[in-house]
Amino acid sequence: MNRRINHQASSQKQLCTPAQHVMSRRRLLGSTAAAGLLGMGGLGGLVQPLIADELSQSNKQVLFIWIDGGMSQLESWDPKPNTKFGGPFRSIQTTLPGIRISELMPKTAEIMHLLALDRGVTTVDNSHSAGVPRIQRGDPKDRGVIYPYFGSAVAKLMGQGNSPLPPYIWVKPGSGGFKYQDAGFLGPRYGALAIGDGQPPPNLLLPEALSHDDNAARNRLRNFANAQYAAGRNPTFGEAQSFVFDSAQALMNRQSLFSDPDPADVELYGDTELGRDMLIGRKMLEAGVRFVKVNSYGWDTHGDNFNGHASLMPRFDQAFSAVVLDLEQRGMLDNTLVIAMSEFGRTPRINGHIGRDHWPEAWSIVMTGTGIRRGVVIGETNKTGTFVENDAHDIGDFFHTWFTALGINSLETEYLNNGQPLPIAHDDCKPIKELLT
Amino acid sequence: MPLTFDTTETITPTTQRLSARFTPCGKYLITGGFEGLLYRWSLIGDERTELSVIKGHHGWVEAIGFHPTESRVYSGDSWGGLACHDYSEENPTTLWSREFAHDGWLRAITVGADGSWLASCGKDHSVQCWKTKNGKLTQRLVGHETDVYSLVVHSESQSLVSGDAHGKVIAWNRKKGVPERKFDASELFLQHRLQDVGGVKCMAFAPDGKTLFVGGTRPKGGGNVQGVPLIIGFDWDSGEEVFQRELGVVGDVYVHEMQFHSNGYLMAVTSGNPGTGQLLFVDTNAAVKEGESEESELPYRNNKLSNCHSISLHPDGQQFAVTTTSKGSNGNGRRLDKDGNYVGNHSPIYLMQPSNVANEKQ
Repeated sequence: MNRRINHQASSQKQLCTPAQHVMSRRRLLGSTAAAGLLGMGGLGGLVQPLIADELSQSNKQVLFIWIDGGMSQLESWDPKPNTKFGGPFRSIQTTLPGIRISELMPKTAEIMHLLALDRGVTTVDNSHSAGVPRIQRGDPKDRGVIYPYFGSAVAKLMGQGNSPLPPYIWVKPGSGGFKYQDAGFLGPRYGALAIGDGQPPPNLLLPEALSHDDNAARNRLRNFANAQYAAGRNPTFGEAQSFVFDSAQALMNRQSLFSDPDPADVELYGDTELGRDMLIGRKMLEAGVRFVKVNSYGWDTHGDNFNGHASLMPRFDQAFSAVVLDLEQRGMLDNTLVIAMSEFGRTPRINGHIGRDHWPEAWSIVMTGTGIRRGVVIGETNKTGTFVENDAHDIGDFFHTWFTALGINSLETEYLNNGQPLPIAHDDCKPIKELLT
Repeated sequence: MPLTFDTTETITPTTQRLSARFTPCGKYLITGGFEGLLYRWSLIGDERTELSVIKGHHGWVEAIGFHPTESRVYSGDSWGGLACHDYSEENPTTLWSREFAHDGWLRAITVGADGSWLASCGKDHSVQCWKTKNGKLTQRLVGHETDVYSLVVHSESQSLVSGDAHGKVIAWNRKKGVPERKFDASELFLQHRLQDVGGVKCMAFAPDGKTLFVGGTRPKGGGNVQGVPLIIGFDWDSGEEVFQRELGVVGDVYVHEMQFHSNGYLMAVTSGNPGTGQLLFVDTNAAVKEGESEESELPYRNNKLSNCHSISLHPDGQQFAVTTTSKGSNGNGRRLDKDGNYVGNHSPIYLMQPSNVANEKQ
């Protein structure tokens, strides 16, 4: 049975309204107990502060690989060779008996036994503008409030841990800076610090002429100015500003994160934009960053999809397989949740520009690492890859699954949004047990 | 007198095709499909009859070549297979096949003028020569560093030329098995983020053999590939670039195929954003005059066709076939027909000829 959330009906019947949350007994109790904690954790707090303390001691981390624009599932994880929509490429055997993936991923085929693959993903949004944020916020449908991106959620729920570094770093091509928008109702403190084009944040190094004492004096002045600014304003903004500054200062002490890479690492990850960023991502994880998002752009292959994937996929294949193997060999994979995904897949139908358009109906997500069962493939599409057969999974199911893999009880843990208890993952969804250890 | 052409017939396959070729005898039209099949139409008589399909391939069958005098079709597929069939048989049998002629996508086939050899190229960066009689590999030419997309043979010298995904064009010394000369068509290539964009999509020699034309796009970006259709001409003797012509705007993207018509003009087809396609006749001898747009120089432009992927000249030197993709071919999300089925696109094939020829026939 293909389980899809009824998005039209649910807008009336199932949408999480503030009233519904207030009326929930469990949440009402939680809300009462936590009412005094408001303001301690930004706009959005947690109903269960003790759980938050425990999670903050966890050494679990996340590597979230975002393939922006939409990787074709048919040229990657769910090939349908020699069918009318299957495209030109062959499939190849992986290390999992009976499991084949696209010939464009030979290195990944060699580590398939380390991965968990879901070929039965069905989501709603078929535009980038809706899909990119909604998928990363875990929204199968509009929930009435702006939920945090997964990185912001993990930053909030698990904190920095023992690392002084920012809990949510986004390694991406293009510009860097602080991206507060990711945090949604949690407040700007839980936004992403973006590392653009492999470059450290500007002004990472202190000017040589600036002495230690002068720098300390400068910081005192800054703190004074911050206090003046924060007086009379929403405390979360001042708090966010200080937090970001402190995190950036911590990065100042870790210049090695941005030093020239080891040539052997470049060979392993690939001398490409994604290889470079994946390597930085690994270094960030090594340094203790809680959540690292590595971003690749240029996957919106409406035109020339097959020639495009012929060069895109091998470069993804190299960087992805390298980081998984690298984390495993460094003993980090057991503590790191690794996810690779886009905002949707691509249409089975091949358009006149020999491209594929946006297809949220049937696509794939791959993951590995902490809490995830390895060497498992679930979900199935039909013979021509057009639709999911049997149980389909929506993004809310994955948020439940990933939180669970990180040791967070996604069914019990709740945010507090201005006193309003809100589930951290969607009410209509649940963890996918087959993917969990 | 301006050039005009009439569509004499439209063949409408139910599935997508990227290429259609007239056989040298002119009695058949052969197209390659997406499911490892070759399709045939009989052109004998007034009705176009679809004949039995030729099986045995896998994936996409784009590369098609013919023996000049015998009823042999040589075809290559995207899994690397190469095969020979007698296209005139009612149910063509496979005369020979090489399942792994290339490691991956076999992109193009060209056949020598005497019909004794053919060359193929593909994803494995190689150009390979085969005996047409039995499919025996005679030569593996190594010199490209990326996928080889296109091939052409000089009509007099029988020099073999190959063009690749990065815009490198190599003229081979087949006796020695080494590159003899190289032409730089890197304007047809762009490295955009992780993606290789463009490449040499097609090539053609001028009828006098003095100029080599290469076609593709002047790439602007990857992902949803955009670019301006572009043809570059190289003097065959000196290797100097002697011709360059952009043939549209950014969304028109690729010159997919070109061939000289008997009227002396270079026929070219382009395909870009869904719904855009051009059939063009280019005067390769005319220089663009100062103050004139390049567009005004074209003897013929038809931009009413949708996504033109191939053009094939009939042996009569007048008729030609243009392979297109159905209009309305794109769209995000599920689009179902009235019966709730998810349907694919198809490829109308237009048989065209100069208007004066059509008038004479009447």
